[in-house]
Amino acid sequence: MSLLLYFIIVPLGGAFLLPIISRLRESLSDWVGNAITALLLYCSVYGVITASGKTVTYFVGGWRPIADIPVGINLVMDGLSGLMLLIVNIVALLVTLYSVNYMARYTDKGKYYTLFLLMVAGLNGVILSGDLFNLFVFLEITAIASYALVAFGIEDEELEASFKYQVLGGTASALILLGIAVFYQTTGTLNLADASRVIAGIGHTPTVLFAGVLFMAGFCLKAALIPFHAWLPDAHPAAPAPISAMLSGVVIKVLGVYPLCRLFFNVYGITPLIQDIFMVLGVVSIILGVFLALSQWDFKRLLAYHSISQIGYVVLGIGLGTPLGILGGLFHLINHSVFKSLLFLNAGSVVYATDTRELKELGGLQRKMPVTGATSQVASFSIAGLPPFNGFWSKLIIIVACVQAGQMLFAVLAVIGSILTLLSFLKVQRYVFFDALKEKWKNVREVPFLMCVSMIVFALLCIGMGLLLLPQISAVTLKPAADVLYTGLEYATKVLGG
Amino acid sequence: MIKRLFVLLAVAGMAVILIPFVSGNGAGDALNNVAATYVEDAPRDLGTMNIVTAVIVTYRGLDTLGEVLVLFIATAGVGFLLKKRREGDPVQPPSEILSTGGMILMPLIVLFGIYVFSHGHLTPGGGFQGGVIIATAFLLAMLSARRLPIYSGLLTWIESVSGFAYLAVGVLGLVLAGGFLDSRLLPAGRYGSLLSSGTIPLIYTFIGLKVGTELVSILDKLRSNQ
Repeated sequence: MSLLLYFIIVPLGGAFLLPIISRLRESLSDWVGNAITALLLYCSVYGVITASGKTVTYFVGGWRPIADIPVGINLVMDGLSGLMLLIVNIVALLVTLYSVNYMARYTDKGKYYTLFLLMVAGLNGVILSGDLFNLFVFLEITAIASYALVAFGIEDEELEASFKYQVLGGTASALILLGIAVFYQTTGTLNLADASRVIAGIGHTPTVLFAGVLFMAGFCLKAALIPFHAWLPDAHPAAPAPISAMLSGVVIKVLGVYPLCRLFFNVYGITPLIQDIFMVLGVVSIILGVFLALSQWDFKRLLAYHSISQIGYVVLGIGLGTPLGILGGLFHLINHSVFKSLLFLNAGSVVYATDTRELKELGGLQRKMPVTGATSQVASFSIAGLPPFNGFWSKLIIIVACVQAGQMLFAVLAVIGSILTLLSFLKVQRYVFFDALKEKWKNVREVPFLMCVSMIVFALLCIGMGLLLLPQISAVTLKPAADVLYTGLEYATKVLGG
Repeated sequence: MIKRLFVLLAVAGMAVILIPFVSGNGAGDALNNVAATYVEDAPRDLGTMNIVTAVIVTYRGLDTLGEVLVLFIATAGVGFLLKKRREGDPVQPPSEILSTGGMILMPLIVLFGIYVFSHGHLTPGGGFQGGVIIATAFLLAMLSARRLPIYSGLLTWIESVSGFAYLAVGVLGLVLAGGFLDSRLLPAGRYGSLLSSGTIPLIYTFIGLKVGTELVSILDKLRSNQ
């Protein structure tokens, strides 16, 4: 199905033309950027519905395997890829909508949309690629575009954060590339499905495991799990708000969590040791992340630490390896994409209106900025896991799955993490939106219309996404995605057939 | 001192872990399955003398498209990161020998660059290498004539159009041949001649132009920042 290709070439075509288009007229770049992300969202909805949970493979250039030897690159869309595509392109569309007004404060919107579309192309490529090296190439595209976007403000803070991000991101890429080299030398193939067969034949030899260790370190750095998190609290706050929303909302998941799952569940075959690593990293990130968040007074930095903590829930759930745990983990992944993107956009709106992100300087904005306030309350309740918002359902599933799997300690720690998250967001609400209105914010006004629209849609998603658990809806979204991981090594047969 | 000791210990520890892998794994003297297939099939199916090119442009064309993008992003990034201009030290004017020599060499180097990217399917080289060679010609020109005007608008046009043309050739492959970036869109031609190997020379020409203009615009940005 050549539809899979559109996810990559449509944003690329846009990105190649934007430098010319924005030279003709700056405002055209808004239209092009939004039209392309809208088209991508349409493609992903269409793709997920037509595939309806089945695995679809596309061989680039028509290079089908010759005598079972994969000579070309294949793109694969299965349940997991479909779910990730949906969430990436929903967030991308709402973020470009938000950017129309927000990015007007920066110069050179054309460059912004060019880099943004390249980042989206990279994300879609990572999700769809069925080839390890190709996945790496798209991962680099996303990573390098995001280094540039973090530095987009070119003030000292942005440049420093971008530099740190580049150094640690580069380290991660080097580890992954070394892992790919060792992996290719051992298995003689880069195709994930083919490699899965080879590994099933030779078993987890020391060299295969060594490549696995390199992948684990590299992708955990990209996912910013503790103790690999040092770059995130600098990079995510420094970026312009729409980019922060993309980075925290989807980038760390697509570059970090998704390849980890794909490699260790579908290619290596999950083992108790790998599960333990996932779960321990997850719980450590949940607890330490939220403690680090509690002591923050910078709005966006606080949110960044919560991203680490919430990614912990995702990895904990998936690491349990039970159908319920995986379902909960993936559900929390998409929920986090929605509410964390919304929170960063809220923070962006506050910065847009007041030019500060210091919690102690703000206060009483609820009345001045009703839309930003109300949507941020929805998002805060979601991330804290209050019913009936989406975060509640996914956390509930993860905790129940922990109990079912006999991991009582992890269940208790997950609950504690959730309570501390609530505390942290009560602090945010009090200092930013409630409390007394400070004299200097008397003339603050609500942000422009399109920014409000974007936040309202996100808030509606936060409220409505619990519906994904309904059996009929779950059967085309969450269930196929969880099945892909739970059935693990069947991936090879589904992709290559026979 | 203690810190260095730790570093030394860490390196020694890594060595202990890595030695078993190195001792058991030589480079091997047989090609693996995938590589063997390339060597056998590429000259026959695609008509390329340079098999590396066949792998880069056709079999793994999507990777190459990605690599082109990485450079594109780097140029865009450098473009706005170097927006802040600062005053540098005054520079000496180029000497007579440099400016004369530069003017003589520049067209020859450009010609060589064009040769390298247009013969990528026949001899070692290709779009990336050819593009870099062209950029060095402009670097020489910038050094030998300080005031050399570079039209950044023109560069943007060439860069964008060649990038888009590369993509368009890929899409044409999707419509008219086996799939996206399939080089068999054009006939394979006579083995070893310049116009052979399907769309590979065409794609390498676009890549050469794109890489060349991108590097020139990076050099120009760095220069105007001095």
